[in-house]
Amino acid sequence: MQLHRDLDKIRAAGAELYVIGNGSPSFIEGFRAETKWTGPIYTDPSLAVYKAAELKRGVTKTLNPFALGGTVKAFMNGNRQGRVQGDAWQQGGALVIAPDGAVLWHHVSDRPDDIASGSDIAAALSEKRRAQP
Amino acid sequence: MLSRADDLAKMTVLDAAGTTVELGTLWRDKPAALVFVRHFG
Repeated sequence: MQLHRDLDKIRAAGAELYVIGNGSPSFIEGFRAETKWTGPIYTDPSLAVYKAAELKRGVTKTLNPFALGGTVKAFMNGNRQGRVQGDAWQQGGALVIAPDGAVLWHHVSDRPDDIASGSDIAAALSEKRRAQP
Repeated sequence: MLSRADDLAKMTVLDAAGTTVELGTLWRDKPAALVFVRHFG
């Protein structure tokens, strides 16, 4: 997970980074062990939060040439996808939310390899800091 | 694109122990970056 590298940057910007998945809470520890992610993790088994966050879901979003490319690339990088724990057709995304409830940044993934960059998140946070000196 | 997270704030997620957490508590004190993964595993 590329986000490891940017976690310090995000925390230095005064924010916390939460990973949200879907599927049973019992999958969380396995995910943590596999990814070595040390930050907080939650799950949204009903996908209600994914829907409210306007994230995409659908077979056509997953089965396309870009998706295949992403899978191959991930495999070559050693990130082989095991048995899917959660909704295989759900795409991801990211939100950066300020304490006043304003969404500072919203990223909706179009393809499995279109993942949020920690650098983008850190940039959204620093822009907010400049806007509110 | 979403501009406000007021609706999301009232929604809940679960931690590894299955405990319900209200989403809005995550950004009550400081900004929160939520990264939604496609699935676990």
